Amino acid sequence: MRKIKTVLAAVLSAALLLAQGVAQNAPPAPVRTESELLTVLRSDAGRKEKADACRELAIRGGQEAIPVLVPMLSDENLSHMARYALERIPQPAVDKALRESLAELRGGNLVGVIHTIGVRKDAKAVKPLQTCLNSSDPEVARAAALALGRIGGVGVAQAMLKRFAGAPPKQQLALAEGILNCADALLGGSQAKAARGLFDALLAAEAPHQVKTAALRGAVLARGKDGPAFLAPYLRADADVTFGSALRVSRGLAGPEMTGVLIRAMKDARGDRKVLLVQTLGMRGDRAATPALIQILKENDAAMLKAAMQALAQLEETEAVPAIMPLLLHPEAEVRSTAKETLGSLPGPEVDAQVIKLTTRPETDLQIIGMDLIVRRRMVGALPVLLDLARSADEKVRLAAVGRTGELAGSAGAPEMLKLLLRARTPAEIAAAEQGLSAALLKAEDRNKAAGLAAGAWSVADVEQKMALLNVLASLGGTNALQAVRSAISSDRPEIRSAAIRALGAWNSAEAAPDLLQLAQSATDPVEKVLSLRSYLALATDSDLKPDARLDMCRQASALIKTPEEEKLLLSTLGNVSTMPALKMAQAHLANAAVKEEAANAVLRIAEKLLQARGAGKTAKPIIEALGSAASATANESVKTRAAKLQEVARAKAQEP
Amino acid sequence: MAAALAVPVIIPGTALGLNGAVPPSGRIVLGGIGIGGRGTGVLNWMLPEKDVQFVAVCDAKRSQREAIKIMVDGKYGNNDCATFQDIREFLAERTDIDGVLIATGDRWHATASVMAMRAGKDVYSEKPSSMTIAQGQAVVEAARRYGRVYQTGTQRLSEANFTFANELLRTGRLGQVHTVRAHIAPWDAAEMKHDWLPAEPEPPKSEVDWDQWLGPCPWRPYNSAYTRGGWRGYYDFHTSCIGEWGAHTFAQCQVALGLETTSAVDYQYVNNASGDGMVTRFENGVSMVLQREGWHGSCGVRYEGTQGWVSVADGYARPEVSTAAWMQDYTKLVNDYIGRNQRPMSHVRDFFNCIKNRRTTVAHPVMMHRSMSTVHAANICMWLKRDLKFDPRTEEFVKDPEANRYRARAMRAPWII
Repeated sequence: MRKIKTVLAAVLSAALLLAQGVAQNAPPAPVRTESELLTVLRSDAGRKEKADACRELAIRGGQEAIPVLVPMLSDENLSHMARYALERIPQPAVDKALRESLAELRGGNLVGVIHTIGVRKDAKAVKPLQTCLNSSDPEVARAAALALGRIGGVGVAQAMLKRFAGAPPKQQLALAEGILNCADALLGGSQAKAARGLFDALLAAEAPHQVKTAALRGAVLARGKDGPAFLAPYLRADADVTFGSALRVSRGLAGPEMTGVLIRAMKDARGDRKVLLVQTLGMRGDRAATPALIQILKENDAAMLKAAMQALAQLEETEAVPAIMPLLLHPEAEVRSTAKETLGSLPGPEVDAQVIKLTTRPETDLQIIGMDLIVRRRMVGALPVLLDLARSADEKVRLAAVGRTGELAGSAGAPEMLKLLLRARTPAEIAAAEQGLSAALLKAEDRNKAAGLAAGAWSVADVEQKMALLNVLASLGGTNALQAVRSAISSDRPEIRSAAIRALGAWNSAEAAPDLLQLAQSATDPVEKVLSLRSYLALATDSDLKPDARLDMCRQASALIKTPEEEKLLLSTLGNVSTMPALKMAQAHLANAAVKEEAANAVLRIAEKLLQARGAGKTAKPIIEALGSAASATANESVKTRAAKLQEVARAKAQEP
Repeated sequence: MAAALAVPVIIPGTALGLNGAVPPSGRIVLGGIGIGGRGTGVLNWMLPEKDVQFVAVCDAKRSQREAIKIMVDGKYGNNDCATFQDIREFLAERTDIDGVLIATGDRWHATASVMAMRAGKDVYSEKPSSMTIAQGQAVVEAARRYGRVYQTGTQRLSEANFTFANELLRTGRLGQVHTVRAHIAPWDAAEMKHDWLPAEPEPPKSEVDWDQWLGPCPWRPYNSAYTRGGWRGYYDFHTSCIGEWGAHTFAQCQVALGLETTSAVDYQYVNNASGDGMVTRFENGVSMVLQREGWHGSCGVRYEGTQGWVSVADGYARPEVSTAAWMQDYTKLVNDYIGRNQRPMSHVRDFFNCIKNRRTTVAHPVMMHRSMSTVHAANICMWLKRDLKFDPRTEEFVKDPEANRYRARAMRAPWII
């Protein structure tokens, strides 16, 4: 019997796989011929069937389809789909038919046909479309302007330009688009003079800022090599919007002429504009700007110094390094940090050599910056330099070198870092060594093995060093680290036990949660009990945990809570769990006067997230109810208002079809 | 990680909307169009930015615009967020708005972007940011013509893990790169649905403006499921399993290869439902393979060269690499990228910085259009069930009139651009 069942199951599985295979590799649905599609259109088939036929004719329709589709243009229900097909049929007969239909159509059908004529660039339609520009229907006039722009031509553009000044705002934008389209086409077609006339006219007209920007760009491009000079006064314009447009245009113009215009524009510009001009020099990537940018480094305007260094970084200009070095000690912190970052990102061995020189300078601050840059630039070859500095007589330098060595050396340098930790005596030395050891071990491919290295030093470490090792283990996580921390919890030294609990609370994942829960349940020392509970709740905020897991942790913690402060902590954690059971749990705390405000806040936070989820309408009723309870419980007026607004959202969601 | 270097407030964004009038503060005035679930997520990234003030939302659906108003008013502690039903009125009336977040469904992204840019707004548009090659061209043209700042929502271009992977490639550590692999969504198919859901009574326009919700797409009867996210998988509204994630991953690959201003030229049809395994090829000979599996996170990419490989997807603590030692250079490479390009590791921050200094964004219109053209061409290859060749210069398929007809779709009036 079992054998029969097995065979049957195998046959069914095979059949299922076969069926799936058939579904995945099903033969394509037969492509309908043009003739079949036209039969559908000529029949009394429904709107859907005819729409589908039009969609296919857009790809495969030809001459035969035109007389069938054209009468549909006046059909309110099918006009768009008729155009959907006609617009893509290349035969010239389509253009003729569309032109002829213009006189017959009104409203949306007419707007659509005008648009399609524009897409097809039917030059023979210019005259009737110009008539449409005068239509009393603003949508028709707008569509005509857009279509004429696509068709193009000097005469067409001039006709639109005449109407531009007196046109209502909504039509003005369409006319501008039409004129600009014509002018761009003329420019691309080597009729720069005609294009220039159109751009200049728009530039001189009263027009929205974006139209002026477009006109300025065109006017500059139409002037060819004279463009940068034409742009120069606009970079000195009073209006910010004009300056901004000119700046944008300058970014698209390559060559030293434009670079020169930008540099000269800085002369009289106000401070904030100077910064933008400098940024533009960086973005344009023309190294002709280098001398001017280096010159700025000798000035003392913090914003300009920063902008010039950033521009030099974009140009990857290593010539600037000697001029940047003094700025590492500039009085303004932002200048110092920009100088450091610029030196960090500039490429090349010459820059490496300059950085190493920094570590030999008498100023401690410069030595430390040099070490930072060695790490930032990943100069692994300079590791001996850092190890030398780790033995410096200057404590500040020594401590800095220990931390940086760990960062640069990676896990291969971990044994050296461990030795430094075990030699460390002062709190500062221990902290630096802990930082270095963590940095080194966190780069290990096998963190569990790395934790074994740290744990192996336990027996020879003193109390302070052990506390540092616990922090290192918490940052690494994993079973070896957890085992080592568990051993520490059984220490007879209370400070080590507390440090071990804190280490569990700072664990890099929720894997330490069961240990903390057990401690919170069974610890005999009340301080350790509270510490364990708080650390447990801290882990429950881990965003990698699924909401149900976080809720479960909140429930476990709830059973152990003794004081209102702990209850508040629980509610704060619960507020991050966006599930209906979490909402109910938070709601249950509203009755407790000592924590009602925190409970109300948690209810609102959960409700807000639930309402943002897809399908929130289904749970709107209990959400509205919970928000009502929160509003009644709270004494805070802004919470009441927020609850009422969220209730409105929930009601709207509930009514969604 | 080095913080993004601060960009000074120079041209107050609002000045652009007020034709030169300088407002009291240098804040960027922001509005939203079609902010649903995804848009809310992006808005949550944007609202904490201190120099941004969100002032108005436009949505065809009342419940959605009300929800955003409540969220925004709650954030600012006022009742000031205005609501609009009609996108045309919104763009015409709010001349004070500098930039808009567009997070409608795919069907509206490009059309709304072009309308907004012609109205003088800078644009952050969610992806996939075009439905056709022609729509992508229109976005590029509007941004170029009107000098608008435009960012497409391929936010992984501003994330450290993905930046590191790109920098490994750029700095030559992978050797000669011959193949890149782009994750496509492991659900849905390349072939999309044309059926209509059963008609439901159309709600009043004030509740759901169905005509506007459909926008330039073909009409179909109202069904509430569409407006609750159920538009995915329909030909009229979606860009298939290839566009769903390819909008991100093709962009990632093309930027990494320095090919963001072109598109793939060869597309090899694969006989399955999704396009999984399709090999596309760029002019320089590098292959990009569409792949549904192979990562343990979403939107993954993998770059393979003669010296090694790197693979990364969402949720990776760090990228996976063939040579562990490369990871030692993680911070350096990311910081070098930031220093060299002055780009923050925050996609929305990059958009706001560019609004202020009028710079081109990291996910600029040409990059969007060219990578989406690769998406569209891959889809068309699957729909026609044959190999295709595409010429990125003419933006036409080579000797294939049928494929060329797929490059555009007629827009429904009055939602024309």
